[in-house]
Amino acid sequence: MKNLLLDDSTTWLGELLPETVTDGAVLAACDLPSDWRSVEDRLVEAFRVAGECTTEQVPLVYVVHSADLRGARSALAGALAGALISCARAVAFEFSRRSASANVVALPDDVDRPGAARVIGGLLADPVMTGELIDLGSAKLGRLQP
Amino acid sequence: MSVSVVTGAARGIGLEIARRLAAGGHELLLVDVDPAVAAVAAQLGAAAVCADLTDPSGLAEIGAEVHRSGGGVRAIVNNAGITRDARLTAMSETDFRLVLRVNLGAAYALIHLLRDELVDGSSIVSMSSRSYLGNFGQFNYAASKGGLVGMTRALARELAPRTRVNAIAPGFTDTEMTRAVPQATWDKVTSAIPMQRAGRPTEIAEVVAFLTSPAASYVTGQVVFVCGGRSVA
Repeated sequence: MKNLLLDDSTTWLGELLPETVTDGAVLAACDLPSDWRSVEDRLVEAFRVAGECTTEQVPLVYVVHSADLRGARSALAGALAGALISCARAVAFEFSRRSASANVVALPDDVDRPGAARVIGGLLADPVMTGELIDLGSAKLGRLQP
Repeated sequence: MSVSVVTGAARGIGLEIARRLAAGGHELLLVDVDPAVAAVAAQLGAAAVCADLTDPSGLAEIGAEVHRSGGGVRAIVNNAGITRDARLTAMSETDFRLVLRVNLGAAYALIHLLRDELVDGSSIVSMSSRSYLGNFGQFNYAASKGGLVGMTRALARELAPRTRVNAIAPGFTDTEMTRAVPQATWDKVTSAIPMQRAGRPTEIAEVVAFLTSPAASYVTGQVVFVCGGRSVA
């Protein structure tokens, strides 16, 4: 199973993910949500893919916008990112095998795309960590993580 | 006089929050889908709206009641919440959406409705949960409570300096709902808590009273864990 649920801000990820990644799912939520309905719909997709990953026992990565960890864009964007972090932590409890993991990667606007793809590919290839939030930007320095 | 709106105020933690804020001099507007909210309000000399927060007509009733009071909003306490726990593979999409809408969507909608009514020095407190750190069988609940934390951070930046916005993350708390768990489960859960007992609703209410008071005038964008130390144990 390989499932990439990317949004407009992260289409590049589909081309840059290492070809060695054959299992797992990525769901991105970096586009700025316009209303509550769009938040709910994205979270329902996150719920569905988490269920699939739990059934298949394959790794899952949620991708969020780094600015939303600090509430820098909007209340709805902050809510979506916060919810996805908790989704990853909750689904990590459900994986019964050590081959599966659930993590969140946060991307800043000026992200090094190949580097980000390597990080996400690494999380899909090796379940060495689970339930983690990995913020690739430097804006987190000196600030509290959610 | 400005009002403080407390949702989910008919019972449990919300009831204790209402009692504590009333004792602290807040003019209250209590909201709950449970009609018992009317009796609680009568006891506390408060106004009440019996409404479903996920229903636009319910929100409109709250807006109308706030306008009638004429003095703006001093505090919003987003306490209303539900659980529909299940293993992720057994959880229905209906229950996932329902928990999201009640616990997160309704809180957002209420703040959106009342944000222009918030007075200088006002405060918003949303009831998150220690479960936002992750918990087995609570994918939906954790998502909704993590969403509240993310929303709190964003609103703290957006509404400062007029309004402070914070969240509380209670742990296992002694309410009607948790009293329904078997004694063996109760004992197992409480034994993992450094304080060796469940929290009391009054202990959550005290923190709400602090966060909505001038004593917390420099506190915004924070999550206060009231969990007997469970989040570090």
